[in-house]
This record gives sequence, structure tokens and C-alpha cells, in this order.
Amino acid sequence: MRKAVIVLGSLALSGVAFGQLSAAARDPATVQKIVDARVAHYKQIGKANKAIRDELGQSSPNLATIQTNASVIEALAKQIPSWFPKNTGQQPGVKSEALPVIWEQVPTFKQRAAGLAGAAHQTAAVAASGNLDATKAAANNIGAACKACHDTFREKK
Amino acid sequence: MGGRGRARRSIKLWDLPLRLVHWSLVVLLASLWWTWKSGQTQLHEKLGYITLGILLFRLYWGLVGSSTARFSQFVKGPRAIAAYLRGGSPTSVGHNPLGALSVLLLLGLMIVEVGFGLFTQDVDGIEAGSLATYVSYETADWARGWHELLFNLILGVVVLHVIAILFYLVVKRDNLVSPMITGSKAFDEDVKAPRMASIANALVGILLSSAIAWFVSKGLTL
Repeated sequence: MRKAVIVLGSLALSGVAFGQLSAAARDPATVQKIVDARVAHYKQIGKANKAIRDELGQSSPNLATIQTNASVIEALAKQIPSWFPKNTGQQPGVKSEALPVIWEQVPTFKQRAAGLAGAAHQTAAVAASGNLDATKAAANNIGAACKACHDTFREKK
Repeated sequence: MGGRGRARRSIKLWDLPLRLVHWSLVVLLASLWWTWKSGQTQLHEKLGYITLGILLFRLYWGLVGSSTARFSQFVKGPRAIAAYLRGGSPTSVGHNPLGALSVLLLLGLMIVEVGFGLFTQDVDGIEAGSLATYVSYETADWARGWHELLFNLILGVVVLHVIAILFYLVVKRDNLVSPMITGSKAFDEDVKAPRMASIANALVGILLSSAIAWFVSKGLTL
């Protein structure tokens, strides 16, 4: 049993090491999978944001729903930098809107992601406090944080 | 009889509301494209609701407006269209049987386009049409796909529309543009003047269509 764990563990570790070594030369299909996975993650953020927006459009918004979805966004936003391993941007055979500037300005990129996490955290906090007007203002900052990052780091259509 | 020697008689063909609808749709189509292209989503939305109001008014006017605006007057079946293509139809006062198809196609496409726009969300799920709140994130994304596709279709039909007008101008020596600006057109033949609807009638239509468009823009809530 213990042996099996060690074998599995070392297999996993070598997998990680292999992944890092081959980071510079992934084939397009593998890169596309990474791109698709992060697009799916972003859609989860979009979905949660829509849930907040829809709630705020109601005559009496449910602040608990807003708080839940803001926390979802906060958790996802904290992961954003990890969705962008090196060499997973635009390249032949890969469809992506992630601009090269992401990897050229990593600190700024991380800062923008943190900005979204912060806005979402703030929204969840004020929603928990029960203040509707403050929640609305905070929720608008989520959208602004999305836009601030997209304007610089995502390809314009 | 007829021919060049005869004085051409000018009659009122298109009423003012119809011309305003036509030219505002031209301006709106260009502005809607530009506001989308330049990322001015909120303005794009507002213009969309105005377009909705104008299209609703055109539907109203197509039922109870001046005779040249009414669907029942200018929409013809395939037999009439075939006869028109063979050149065997009497002079059309207003839309000819073939042009009627272009009107229906453009109006229909624009109505569906605005319809999808109401449920469309931007790629970030930040801005959305007023009715997107009633559908899921996935459906609102799906609506955006159609909203984009249909716009290109509309552009295609607009190009056809303009080519047809150029064809009438150059080949058939029939200027369709100036009547759409001035409202009047000169005919060689004796034709029956269209019956023009009243201003009060137009005001009722404007009021009704604005009210409905407003209500829709507020997400069907008061």
C-alpha cells in the first residue's frame, strides 16, 4: 500500500517535472486545451457576474445570492495567473485572444487579476452587511475590473 | 398619347413618417455598427431600443398608415412578382412586387436582429440587452452569436438593396432615391394618387410604439 503511494507520488512528480520541461514545446492541440480550459473558467466568472447583475435588476434583490456569486468570482479571480502558463498564448494552430503582453507584463497582469478579486471580495462583504446601494456600487467595480484587464490584455474584436 | 411631349404629373408617393423611418434606419444601422465596433456598448443598447421603437412604428404604419406604406397594398404573391419580372405589370405606385420582397426581408431581418439583441450579453457578461435577465448565461451567449451573424446578413441585403436602386437609376432610368427624400414622384401615366394617412394616426402610432419600446427597454417591468 505504502509502496503504491510512493510509486504514484513519484509518477505524479515526474509528470509535473515533464510538464515544466516541455512547456516551451507543447503541441498546438495541448495548448488549445489549456486555452479552452481558461475560457471555460472565464465563462464561470461571467456567469456569476450575470447572476449578480440579474439579482440587482430585481425589485428586491436577494443579497445572499449576490454574496455567494461574488465569492465565486473572488475565488476564481485568485486563480487567474495560474491559467496562463508560459507559451500558451497566440501561436500557429491555436485560437486564443490572449495577447502576448500578458507574459511581457506579468506584474501588471497579476495586479489586474488581484483587482478583480478585490472588487469581488468587497462586493461579497457589503452584500453581507445588507447595504443594497453599496452592493450595487461594489458590483459595478467587478465589471470595471473585468474591463480594465480586457482592455490591455485581450485581443479586440 | 404618353411619351415625352406629355407633361409629367407629380404625386405624393411616400408620407413623411415613412421617409423618416427609412432614413433613420439608415443612420441607425451605421451608428449601431460603429458603437459596437468601438466598444460603446451602452450607447449601442440605447440605439437598439430606439430602433425597436421605429420598427414597431413601421409595423403599425404597415397596417393602418398611408396606402403606399400598407403591407396589404404592396405585398404580392409569386404570380404578381413573375408578371412584374416579365414586364407585364401596370406601373407600380409605391413598392413594386419585387421591391416588396426587399422591404419584407429587410424589416423582418431587422426585427429578428433587434429581438436577439434584447437577449444578447457582451462577451464578458457585463452589458446585456434588457431581456437577457430572463435567460441563462449560455442562452445570452448564443443570442450574441445570432446577433452578430444576422447583422452580416442585413448588410448583405442592404448591399443588394442599393445595387437594385442603382440598376433602376442607370438601366431603367427610374430615380427611386429622390422620391424617398422629397416624398413626391412624377409619373408619365395617369396613376391613382395614394391615400395619405392623417397626422393624428401617425401620432397614435408613435405614442404606442415608443411606449412598447420603453417598456421592453426596462426589461418588461414598470
